[in-house]
Amino acid sequence: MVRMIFWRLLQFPLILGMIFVVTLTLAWVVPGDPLDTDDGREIAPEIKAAMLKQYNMDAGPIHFGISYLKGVAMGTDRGWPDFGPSLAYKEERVVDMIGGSLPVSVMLGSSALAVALFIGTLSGVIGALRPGGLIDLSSLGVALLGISLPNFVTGSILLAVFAGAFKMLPAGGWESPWHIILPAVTLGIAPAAYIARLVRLGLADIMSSDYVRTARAKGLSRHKALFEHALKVAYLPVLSFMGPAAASVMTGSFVVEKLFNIPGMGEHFVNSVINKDQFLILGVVLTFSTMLVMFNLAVDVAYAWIDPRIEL
Amino acid sequence: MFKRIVVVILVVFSLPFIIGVGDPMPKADFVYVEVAEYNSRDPQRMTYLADIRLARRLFETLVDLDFNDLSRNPGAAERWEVSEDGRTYTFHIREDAYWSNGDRLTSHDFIYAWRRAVLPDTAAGYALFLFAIEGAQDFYAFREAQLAAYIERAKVEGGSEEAAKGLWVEALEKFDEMVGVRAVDDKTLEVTIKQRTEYFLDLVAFATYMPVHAASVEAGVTYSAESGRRLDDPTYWNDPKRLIGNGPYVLSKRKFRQYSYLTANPHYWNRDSLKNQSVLARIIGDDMAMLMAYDQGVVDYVPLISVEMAHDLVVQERDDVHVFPLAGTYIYNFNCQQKLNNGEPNPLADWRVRRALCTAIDRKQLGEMVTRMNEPPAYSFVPPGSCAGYEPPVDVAPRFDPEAARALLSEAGYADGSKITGLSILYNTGSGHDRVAQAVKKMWEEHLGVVVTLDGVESKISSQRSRSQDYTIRRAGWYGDYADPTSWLDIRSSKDENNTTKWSNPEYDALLAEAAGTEAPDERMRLLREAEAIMLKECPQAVLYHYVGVSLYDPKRVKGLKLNAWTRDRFEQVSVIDQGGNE
Repeated sequence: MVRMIFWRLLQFPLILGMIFVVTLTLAWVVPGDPLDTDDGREIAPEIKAAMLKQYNMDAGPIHFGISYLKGVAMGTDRGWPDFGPSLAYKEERVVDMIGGSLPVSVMLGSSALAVALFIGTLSGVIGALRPGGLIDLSSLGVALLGISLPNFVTGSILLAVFAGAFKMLPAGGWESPWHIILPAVTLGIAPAAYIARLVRLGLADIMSSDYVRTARAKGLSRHKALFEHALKVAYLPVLSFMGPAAASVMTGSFVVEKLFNIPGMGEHFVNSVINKDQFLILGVVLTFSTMLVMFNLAVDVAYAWIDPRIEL
Repeated sequence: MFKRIVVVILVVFSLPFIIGVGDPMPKADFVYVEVAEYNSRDPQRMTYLADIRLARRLFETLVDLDFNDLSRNPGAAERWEVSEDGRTYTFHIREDAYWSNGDRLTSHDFIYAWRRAVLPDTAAGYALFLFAIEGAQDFYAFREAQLAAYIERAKVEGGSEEAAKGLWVEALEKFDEMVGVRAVDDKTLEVTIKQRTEYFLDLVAFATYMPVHAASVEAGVTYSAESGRRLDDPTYWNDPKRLIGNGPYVLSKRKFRQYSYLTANPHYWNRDSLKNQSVLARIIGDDMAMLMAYDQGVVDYVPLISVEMAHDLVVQERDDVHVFPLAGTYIYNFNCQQKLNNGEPNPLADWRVRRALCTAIDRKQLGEMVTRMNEPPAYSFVPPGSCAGYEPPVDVAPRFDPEAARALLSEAGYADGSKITGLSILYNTGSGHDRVAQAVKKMWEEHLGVVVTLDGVESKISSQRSRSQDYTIRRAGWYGDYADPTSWLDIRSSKDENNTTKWSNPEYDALLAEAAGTEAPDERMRLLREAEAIMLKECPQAVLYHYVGVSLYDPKRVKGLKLNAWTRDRFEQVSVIDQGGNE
């Protein structure tokens, strides 16, 4: 296992390097000038030339890429990689922008995952206890709805009901734990549905397997068989789902963040590209790739920890 | 296993309560919405209107332009004199004008700021506004050449910070020698401009001319050994601890993409006139979220509602929905070059074709049926009433008349409109531009038989293609920067960067030049009017309508807010009555 982790970490810079080159190429060839303002004012050519110089963008993508990587390697005073300035927000450092919004997204994402795990496991287990029963069918219905409804619809409904009609919860913002509830539920409902179906299927499968039947025949109670033995195995597919789900949920959702006015990472993904903000695009992509690689590694390690049959 | 899962879930659920989520917004006397985070708080580098509005809260210019009546009032300067030839301005800065840290505001702060604006090192988007000053443009060119030479030298000998600093000392001397600004004493500033400029005081009232606190800005300056350039510390402008201003408010707190919190500047000379002690800008990008925040009473004022939402609100006839005209015009630019980029002959090169297209647009229908905001149909480029003393020649502009349009088209050799091919409308998607383009396309097909295609792209792609004339017809809009017709008319002069239509008319250029050198205001306006008439006749662009704005506030609660066509509100005059009836 240690060897596996070592190898994975060794591959890591290579993967990041490839992602960097591909992203830089794409960001560079995509049409549109980052220095253009949206209100249609042309900037005098001599001033634009001066701006390009300021950002090391006057000598082509290779020169820019190298100076960018230099900055990343040198790092800021506080030891973070320096992703340079933002082109859209002239006075922001990309590292501060990501540093400010990543924790928000991680917090929101982990809350959403907790919601997903909670609802998913609960309805999955109940469904498995009484397959075909009322609860099973209704949980299937909810799961279907959760998967098929896009989260701007779920979010708008939740907003209209809990913030609009009942005024129980704040409509948006990022000010107190109460502000996290609606977006976390919105974001968590789709993965909850997946988890419910995974748990439900897995449990039904295992409960009717030979070893559980043998254990039951020997006098093991149904509850004990379910919670102590079957759930553990049934949870494996959930775990492999959790890796990418965690990465995607924690790096922010543009729609949910916009709807609930949350200053997370999602907006950077979309706006950096719309603004052609090369520094931000690269910073965001590098951060996201790092997280994705790390989460996948974590899931593989967790796999081995839960199921000793798996060797790494 | 089950227990473990339960524990993990419980821990995660309680995390937000243990660590805390964000922090509560500061409480403010007056809360308004911005749809996006400010792009810049540096007065010399800013280009966005939202930033320019904010700048006026944090900094004060010498002359203060009241956008409600377009009067020029004393700002940081209590008075000024203009020389006989109209080229020398002497500003007398108030004795009681101070920076927010208590330092005296001096003429040197202005010179420092203006020098920043005309340095290629700063790359100020509106540097051109400073080029009205004698020698400013030459100084810009000098510094550019100096830096270019330095880079060449540095390649051979290697550069150093010391050498870059030496370069700067030389540039400083050159600035004093070349540029027409002089500190007569600490409180007197003398400015010499290139030629008499009727609206120079309006420029002085613009953000690029705002002073900055020289000592604290200078503290963050470094020199690049590689390029020889002076580098500002951009984070200074974002840092409430460091940013020093001379305006009615100071930046007290801010959180990126969440809020900017301004409190009254205790050292502002006119602090007693402030009707509130704090202003909070909440950044809410989503229309739904914005309206909900307004309905919940979290915000007092929504300055501009997006076109998508505006109509639904306006039809409700609520007395907190305010519709007002804006000093901007919605236009379709025509590519006026003889040949298109692909080498094909350009039918739009003939002004009669352009005018025929303009004549076939039913502008009233656009406002009533398409945008549904009843925008005033445009018969001029300069919106009527936006500049004091100027009446645009609306009688020259094409009006909707299908028959006349067809006649004009056949005069140009296209008796059959469908012979005109290869035209397309380039527009940036969203904000209702799609619908307008569809409507105009249909009008042209119906009335002229001219078939155009629709080409919706992202805004930045549209700008890029406009600059390289990679279009035939392109949607655009133009708002004035200052209240003078030249703020619109200049962009159609042959040499202007913004003239992406490449329309060129020597007579038009000559009239603008003549107007620039004309002393008598009436005569000057007459010449400008004549110039605009030429433009309206030849139609380098179709003028569709003048913009309107829709804002949201309860006039019974929010007092002192004056909406104007230039959207420059004065928040220091606003008071909000709370539910209990107290101010």
